[in-house]
Amino acid sequence: MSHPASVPATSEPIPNPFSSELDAPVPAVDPARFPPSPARHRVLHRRLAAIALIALCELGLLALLGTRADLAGVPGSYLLLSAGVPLFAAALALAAGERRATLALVLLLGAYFAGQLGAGAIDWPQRFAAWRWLRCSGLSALLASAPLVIMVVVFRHAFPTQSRRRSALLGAVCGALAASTLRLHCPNDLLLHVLIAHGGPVLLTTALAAIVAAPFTRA
Amino acid sequence: MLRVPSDERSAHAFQPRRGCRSASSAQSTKARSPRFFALCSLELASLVALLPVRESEHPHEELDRALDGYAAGVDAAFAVVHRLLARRLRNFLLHLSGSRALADDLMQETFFRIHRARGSFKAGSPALPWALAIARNVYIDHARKHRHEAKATQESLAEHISPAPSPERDVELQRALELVRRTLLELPLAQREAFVLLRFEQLSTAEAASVLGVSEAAVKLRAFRAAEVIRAALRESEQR
Repeated sequence: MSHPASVPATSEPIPNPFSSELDAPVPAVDPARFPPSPARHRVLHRRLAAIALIALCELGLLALLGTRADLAGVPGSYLLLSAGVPLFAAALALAAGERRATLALVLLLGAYFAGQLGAGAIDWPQRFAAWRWLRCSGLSALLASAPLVIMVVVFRHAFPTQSRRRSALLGAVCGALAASTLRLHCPNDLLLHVLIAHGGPVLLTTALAAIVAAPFTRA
Repeated sequence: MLRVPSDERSAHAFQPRRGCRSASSAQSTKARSPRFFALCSLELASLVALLPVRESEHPHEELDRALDGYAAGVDAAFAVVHRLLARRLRNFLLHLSGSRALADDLMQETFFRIHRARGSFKAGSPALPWALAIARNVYIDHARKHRHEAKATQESLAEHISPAPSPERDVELQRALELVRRTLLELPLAQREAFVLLRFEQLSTAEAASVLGVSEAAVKLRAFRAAEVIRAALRESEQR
């Protein structure tokens, strides 16, 4: 870079004070000293395997907890809303995690709550005691914990920018998966219960992932 | 890579496929004609979508291809990646840290992290912003770890970085360069990195925004504020 002859006026470009160092020799890097790292196709296979493992975990836990007694009588449209919408939103968030993280998060949460509002329009007669809400929150956290750990492992060092937001998305995905699974177990369709006891942990896992997972997912 | 020049695309889109006509009557031929055109267009669109055509050379195309290959598992591509990236990464880290020795060390760490994260590099993505983002993270981690030592390090290494005195250099210019260096290193990191990326690294606003993970407007504002602070320091120095 050529050096200007005099001090630049305020309207002129600011000179680079490091210009004399820019052409200095660059030290070599020996990649043989690096530990092996997986190529793109292996990373993709790992992530697909992780998704399959997460699905197995959720189904296994659901088998342990048992499905709701009235599952056979639940309309398909209701099941689609209450279980399918969070799943779809989770898939959307996962796919959109590379780009507009904020938009995907809004879509995820919005779709989830819209689905629950739609489910709340159905008047189910069953009501439960308030203490069962805590049980649902605890179960939701349990259902979300294994997927969150698996996600953090497969997305380790994956995000060079916006790692906090993208980790929050991963947390939202895991929370939504847990909420979907729980809808197949919990027979309480009271809107407030679904929003707080099932929806609340989604927000909790989102915040937790943003704080705890971000250092691991950062490239 | 299959290239379909634009002038041939429109010809293909409106050419009915040969050998597709059945032995049925003219009535069915008339009914199928719009459908054939639609199918041909759909087929061509999916073909074009699968095989992107680059009509002009991207300035960093060689680097993009090399890093793409490295991410796909071609270890031999590392040499090309290093050749094309090392100086840019080192200079970027030099602008951030103010120390060439430190920049060299951080550059090595950056390549290690690039190697570690190569599986997450999306195919077809621009390589330079991705690599610079990792370099930025390396610098931030170093700065956090050595927060208390940072100021002392910058001051003690001023001798190594200051432009070498020479008869051709104006003493005033040397003072100005030193002032710019000091002011730049004292800027908040957010402003410094935006300014460095736009002014010294010559990145576009979109690329700089991609490196920093913020909007283009935020990048411009930060770089503008940094430039204002440096210019104010220069003006103040002139008036003395």
